[in-house]
Amino acid sequence: MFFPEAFINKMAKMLTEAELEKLKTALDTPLRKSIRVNTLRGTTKEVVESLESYEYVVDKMPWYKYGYFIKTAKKQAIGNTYDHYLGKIYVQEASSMLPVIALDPKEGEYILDMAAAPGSKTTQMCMHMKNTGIIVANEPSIQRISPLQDNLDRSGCINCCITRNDGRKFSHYTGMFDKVLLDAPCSGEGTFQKDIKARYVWSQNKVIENSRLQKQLLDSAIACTKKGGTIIYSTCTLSPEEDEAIIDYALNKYDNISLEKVSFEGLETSQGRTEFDGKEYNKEVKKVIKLWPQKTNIEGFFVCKMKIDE
Amino acid sequence: MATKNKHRRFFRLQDEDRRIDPDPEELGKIETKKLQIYLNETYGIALDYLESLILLKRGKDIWITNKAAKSMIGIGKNLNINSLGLRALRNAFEVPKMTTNFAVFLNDKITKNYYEMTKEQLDEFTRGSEIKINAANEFKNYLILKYNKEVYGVGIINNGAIKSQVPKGRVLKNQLSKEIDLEVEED
Ligand SMILES: C[S@@+](CC[C@H](N)C(=O)[O-])C[C@H]1O[C@@H](n2cnc3c(N)ncnc32)[C@H](O)[C@@H]1O
Repeated sequence: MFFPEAFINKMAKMLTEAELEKLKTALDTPLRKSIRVNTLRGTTKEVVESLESYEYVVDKMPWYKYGYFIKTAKKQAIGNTYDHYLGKIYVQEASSMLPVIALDPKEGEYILDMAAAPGSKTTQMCMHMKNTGIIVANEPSIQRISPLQDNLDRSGCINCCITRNDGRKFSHYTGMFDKVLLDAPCSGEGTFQKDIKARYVWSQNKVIENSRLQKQLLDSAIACTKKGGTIIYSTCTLSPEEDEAIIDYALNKYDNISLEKVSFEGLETSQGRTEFDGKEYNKEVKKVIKLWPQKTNIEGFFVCKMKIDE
Repeated sequence: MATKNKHRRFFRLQDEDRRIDPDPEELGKIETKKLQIYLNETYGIALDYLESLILLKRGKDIWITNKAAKSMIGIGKNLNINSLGLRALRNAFEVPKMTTNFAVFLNDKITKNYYEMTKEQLDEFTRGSEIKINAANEFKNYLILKYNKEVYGVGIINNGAIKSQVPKGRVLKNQLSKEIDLEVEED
């Protein structure tokens, strides 16, 4: 299948020939379907039983008690089940669940989801917080607000405030949030597996453009997080310019931040690179994690956990 | 033609912008009490439970949120609030219509003014069809539809039948086997 040449050349700088072939094969393999049980609406036990009654084979993710891979031999849409109708399940990629697990939202906290639509992670945080505290779910794109609202409503979220701003605006709200999730707009190389179109719209120029915005959004996230607070920076892309380089930028600019390692049981994650294309990154960047689809059998992703020093 | 469509789209966006006004405001004590009593008398929802929710007013609609999130009203002035919490009642100051999402949210807290469906009726209801019933006059205003003690939505009596109020975007496709996913989620 088609891959942009510049993308393959870039991946070749990070992977051995054999690994690169494995990456290409992985990106051409259909993704495993997955769902998250929404415990605001139902229990894992009842949902699993119900999905099995629809003849789904349900397989729990070792690293998350609410995440399940599902498959069925029947031609049927999970969106047509009553579990989906009632908001008891949320269709979400396995890797998309990881940033929230790493952020570990707690009841009563004040959290900013800086780039929220369509709300997979907002609804996941809301369920961890049992509808307490506040989530400011920010999304600048008007077209993406309505699916965000629909997903919050179906999931039974009442603690969310949808705001419509460029995420950079939050830099004026110094120390306002306990935790910030910055699931940044990115070139979406991880989504090449399920979305062939994404391969055609990808360009190195867009990677560079994104990287500029990502740095500014991370500046804003650092400004609006409380002392002692936590930030998760995540992307669904593999380019170091949008991942490790952003964290390197922040580590060199701020002396009040530090990184924390994250791990997920049973998931083979890779540590961050400390150099790319002749550029050396801060050694701390090793603490971030990258999910390569050829190793994990889930969508490519990047997660970094950052603390604001007390 | 293209230009016309472009203009139409522009005006629609403008309208959407206007529609997200006015800002939410906390409902006054007296109006809150009135609605709590209405929900208690019509649907049997316990008053102390209703008191744990914050009612917000936005035009003719009522939204609900929790006590902490209420503080966003003050803080959020410059943050372009699009919505706060969950839309609970439409036309709240005349004949309040409970939204499907609020009904599903309340679930077992609703103990009055509900109709328990059979499996066949559930399939019809969630696909947006009418359900014929005999005891239509037992129900008031908008009634709640349950199956197996679980709330699936809201209906209204019309000529001896319950007319489904399930929003279009939520109506289930005819057969489970239709492979076009209804999912709007995923990132
Ligand atoms: C990867 S998606 C977020 C997915 C979402 N967190 C979820 O889990 O469902 C990135 C989002 O960032 C939004 N975005 C783009 N530019 C932005 C900006 N300047 N500030 C904040 N968000 C932005 C996009 O519209 C898009 O909805």
